[in-house]
Amino acid sequence: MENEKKMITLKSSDDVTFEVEEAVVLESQFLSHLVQDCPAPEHKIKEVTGKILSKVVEYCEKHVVVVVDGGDSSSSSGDDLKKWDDKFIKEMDLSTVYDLIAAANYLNIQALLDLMCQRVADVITACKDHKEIRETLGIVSDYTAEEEAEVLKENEWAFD
Amino acid sequence: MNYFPDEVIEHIFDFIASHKDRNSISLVSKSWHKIERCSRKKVFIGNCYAINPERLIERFPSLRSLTLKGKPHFADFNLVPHEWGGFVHPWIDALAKARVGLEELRLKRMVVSDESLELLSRSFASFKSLVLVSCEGFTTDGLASIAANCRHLRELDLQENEIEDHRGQWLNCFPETSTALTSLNFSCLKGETNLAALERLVARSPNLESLKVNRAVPLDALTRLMSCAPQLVDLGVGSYENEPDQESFVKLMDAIKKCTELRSLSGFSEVAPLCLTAFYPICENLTSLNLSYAAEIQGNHLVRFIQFCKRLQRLWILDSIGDKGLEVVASTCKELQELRVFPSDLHDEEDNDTAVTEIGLVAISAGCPKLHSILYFCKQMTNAALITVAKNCPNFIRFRLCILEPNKPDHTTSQSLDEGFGAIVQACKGLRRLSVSGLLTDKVFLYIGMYAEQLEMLSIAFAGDTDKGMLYVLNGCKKMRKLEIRDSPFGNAALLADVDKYRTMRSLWMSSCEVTLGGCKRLARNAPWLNVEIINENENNDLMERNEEDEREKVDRLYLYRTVVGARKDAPPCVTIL
Repeated sequence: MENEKKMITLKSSDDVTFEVEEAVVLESQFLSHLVQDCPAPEHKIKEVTGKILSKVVEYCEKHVVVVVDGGDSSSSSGDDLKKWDDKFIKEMDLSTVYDLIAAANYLNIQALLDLMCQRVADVITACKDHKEIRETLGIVSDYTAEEEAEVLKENEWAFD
Repeated sequence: MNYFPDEVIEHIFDFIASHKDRNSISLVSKSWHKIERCSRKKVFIGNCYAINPERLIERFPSLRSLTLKGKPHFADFNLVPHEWGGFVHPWIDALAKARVGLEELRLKRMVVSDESLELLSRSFASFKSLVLVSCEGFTTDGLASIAANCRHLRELDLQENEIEDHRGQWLNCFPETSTALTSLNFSCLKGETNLAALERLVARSPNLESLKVNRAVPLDALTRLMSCAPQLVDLGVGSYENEPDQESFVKLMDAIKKCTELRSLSGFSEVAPLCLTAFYPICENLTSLNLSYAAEIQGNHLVRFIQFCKRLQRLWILDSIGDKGLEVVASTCKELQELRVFPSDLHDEEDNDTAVTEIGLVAISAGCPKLHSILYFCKQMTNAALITVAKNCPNFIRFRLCILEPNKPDHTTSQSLDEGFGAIVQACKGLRRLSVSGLLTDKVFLYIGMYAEQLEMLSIAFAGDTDKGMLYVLNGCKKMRKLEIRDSPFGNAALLADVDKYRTMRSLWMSSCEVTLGGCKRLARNAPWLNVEIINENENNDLMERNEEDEREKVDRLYLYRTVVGARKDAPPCVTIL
């Protein structure tokens, strides 16, 4: 590619700016439309903080590079990407995962949303039972004791 | 987490497949329960009378795949009357009326009528997969409906069913546009097969990975089938009756050689002695071999073949292989995980010299370090052998030992086999399924109750001395789901000791034990949430009318299970629900 790459600036809710290539922005359905409909040099994303937006940008940049480089779809680039994804989520705490899910959902970045949802699913399946799920994810039950017993009974008696 | 929109939570749930995890999710909160139930696609029901179709559909309106189990397991040993129940029709009817988008149906030990299959074939536009295991009540006419009407059918798997074969042209009923088949198994059909239709169907199914044909498919047809489906991974051979002439043998061998993906081989219900030689070129690739129908293959031919099957993970075989043959398996099949050795019908009582013994079992346990499941029919066993096996293979999750003659003691010491089975349950911490046999006292159940912490299913026949035996198991095995007992001296005291135990178990079967009618009635009174079924085929069945005297009468067969929908309405006259 001879011509210069088009750059776009994204600004987070707390006014942190990120200068990225247009290709990176195109990973997000939401931003693609935004950039097409309103060709301003800078776009404010009020729903996402700088901390989370930096993660989003990091993820999208990595995925753009690999997809562009791996034009001949060599399988090693797919494996590398998977490794990179694993490392990306490995050390991440749950509240960052939640924020990234919210951001990926809002910005409509399917692959990132999948990755983060898979991570939460892994946390859930690692739990011993529903009580541990509640504890781990900080969910307060709204069941009455009777209601919960009723569901438990149907689960165990019919759908075991 | 709580502030996510439902779609996002549902998307997280999309990555959670197992029933156990889905059940846990449903208990977290009411909103999770709703999202989970509206998105669950796969549902498993281990007892079709524990719930009804209406409750199923109300809870899981989006279900796509349903697994249903009917008759108790002892039906496999003809202990359950044919007309007992387990009818699938009400389920299909309700699913059709509710316009559920059913795509997969898996049934085990259920009664399936042609009418049900016809309704099934016409009601679900995206239906893809039908798996029937040990079912009965239908004919090839029902299969014709499935073939003709299920345009997206990928899998038709008929295992061990009793099917009335109208010699119909059911294979001919697959429309020419049907090209999506990935799996076709009709090995249990007894009648003629339309070979031309079968060959055309296979030829236009480029994704066919599994093909198991019945005994009516001869050798030359097999050659043609394999030539047009070199992609097959799983093959069930039909008849290999005549030794082929040189030319057709070369053709067959060529066709087999081209099936480089082949990993699993079964069938051979009608065979010539040398039939396995044709498969030598691919035997090194095999991971699964089932020759439990191949009664006519002699032990030495089996052994010679298995010598080349170095990658086998699963082997089902007849005991005609002999202890010597099992020694060869042990030294060859280092990857073996599952072994089943069935009794062959060829030798009768006095001539069972070919049957396998403790020698074969010990050899396998010493040679196959990855072995985790075994079903072993043998003529004799010793405690010393079982203790060695326990030491060699502590990874057993399924251990089923069937000594052919009931109450047979350790033939070297004449003692009970308590210590041997005790060693198994003590060593195998992950044991989930166990069948015991031979001479056994209450002591073996003491060991089972003490050590078998993960045990989920236990089969007992001709064992124990007193109620204590059964009580050890009921009190000890906290994870027990299914307990089946026949011909053992356990009675009311054991049955009634802890009624709440049956809240945690899927079912209990007791036949030819010491349980009385009075005891069963008391159980039913104490546990109204339990269906207590008395099965009696012989006499007049008005059990509720009996007087006090009859309360002490032993019940022939007792089957009890928990249910959320009360007594079933479809019980035949030989079944009384107390």
